[in-house]
Amino acid sequence: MTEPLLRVTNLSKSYGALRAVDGVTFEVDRGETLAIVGESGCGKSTLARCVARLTQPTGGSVRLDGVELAPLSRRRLRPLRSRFQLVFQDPSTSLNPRWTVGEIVREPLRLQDVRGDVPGLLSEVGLDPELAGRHPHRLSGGQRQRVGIARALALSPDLLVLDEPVTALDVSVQAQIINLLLRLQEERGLGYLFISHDLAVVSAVAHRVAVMHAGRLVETGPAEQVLGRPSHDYTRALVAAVPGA
Amino acid sequence: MLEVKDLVVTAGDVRIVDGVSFEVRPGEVLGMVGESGSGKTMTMLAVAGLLSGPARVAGGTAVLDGTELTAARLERLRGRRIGFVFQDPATSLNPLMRVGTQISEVLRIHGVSRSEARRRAAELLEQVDLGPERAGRYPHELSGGQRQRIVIAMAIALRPSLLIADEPTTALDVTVQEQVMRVLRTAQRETGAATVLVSHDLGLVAEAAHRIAVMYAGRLVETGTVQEVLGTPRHPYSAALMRSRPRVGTGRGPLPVIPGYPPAPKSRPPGCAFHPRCPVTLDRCAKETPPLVGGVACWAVRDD
Repeated sequence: MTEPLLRVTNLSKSYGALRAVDGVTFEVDRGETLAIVGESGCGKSTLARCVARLTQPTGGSVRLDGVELAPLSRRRLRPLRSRFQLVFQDPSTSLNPRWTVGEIVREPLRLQDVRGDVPGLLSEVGLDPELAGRHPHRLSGGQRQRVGIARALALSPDLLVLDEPVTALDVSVQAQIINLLLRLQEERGLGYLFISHDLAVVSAVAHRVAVMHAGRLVETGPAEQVLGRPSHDYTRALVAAVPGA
Repeated sequence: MLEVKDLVVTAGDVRIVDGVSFEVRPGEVLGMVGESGSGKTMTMLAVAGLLSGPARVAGGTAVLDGTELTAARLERLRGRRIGFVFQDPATSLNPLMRVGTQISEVLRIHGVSRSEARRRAAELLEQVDLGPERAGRYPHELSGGQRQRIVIAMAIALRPSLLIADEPTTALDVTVQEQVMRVLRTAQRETGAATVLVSHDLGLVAEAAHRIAVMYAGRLVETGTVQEVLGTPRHPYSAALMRSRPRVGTGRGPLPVIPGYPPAPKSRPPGCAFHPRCPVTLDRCAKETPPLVGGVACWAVRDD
């Protein structure tokens, strides 16, 4: 039996009495997208931050390829950092405005002291390599999100944690970024942990869906089952509330 | 009834809104859709006389129930004849004032007595599905959806003849969205206000609007009933936009995309602004701007 790419077991994160993430368990395989859906305050972004180790969970286990990440110090974690990367919702706040596109994409390579092909990464995400000299504010929202994805791909990760990656984008640009993510997954065999409140977007990208409510997963299953024949009351309410579906 | 004709909004030498005409009848909801930078919000801010910064009205007229909305008149009409609901309720509410008082204030400013204003405020709270006990709360003691319902109560307090709702639920969760839209629809029906719902969300507009106006690069490219525009869109941009929209239940897989990006106002291409991204391009598309005729602004559709 091979280990899944990501195995999260009984993960918890408390802030004092508030249990933002409360005993969450799931797996993500190579080439697979698991979407975590839920409304604001349900804990899905905290969960993403725990998995990406931007914050320390208070309990449970996060295993990447069988290696337990939870007990590792920052220094011991560093070589593993290249294996999982985070893509944020708002590319305009996650990209350093003073750096050029080239510098932003090169930064993770520089930190890990490895060589990489910045023009190649830019074309892989559908950006003209000529844009390397530009600053983020001179790009459109869609182009900035492509820069965020190129930066995440720089170290050839196995897992991307995507926190509302298309929420801030216009409909026509949203479709482009969704297609880009689908193509990259197929070409690179990436596992995606896809955090979103938007069930329509999730429907286009996810193999499996987990519904989060008040810090817990209330329903998990294949996307067509969870979105098409939801079994939990909360999921049913979520699906019914999608306008014009 | 709101009648907007040939509206032009400029900022410096950039035409942000470029000759927009439309009508909204009493009791009707017009959904104004478009992507960022399409000019949909600017159009409505111009109608209401709320443009700020370098943006100004450079041409055209807006007439509400026979009265032209000039800058001088808008000062008096806004609030009384025109109600607003913006995306973020926090920008419309005073954080230091109890919400009941804020609703009463709207009435008091327009000459309603103190006791009558208090009574009306209680009624308005009920109209937006909030109990009278909420009157004593401060905005921060309410949820986002409740705050937006207070804003709706203020917007309809003086029974305006025009209601403008700009992305009223974009900042809210989907289950809360539904409730706020229901309250907005009821308020709109009860006041009979001509209503413009500005939104990027086609699904939301499909459920709440009677007619739709699609904007692209500062111009209206298509107007019609919800069934016409969403069901059988005629402009290549509207058609492509409908196709590229993900839907619950269509299953995993790539979406049909519109290549390229919507142009920034200062770099809009000549002719039809959509032509560089359009699947059907005729010679004249790059040279001449198609007028809106029969609800659609497209040379290819007209030549059929």
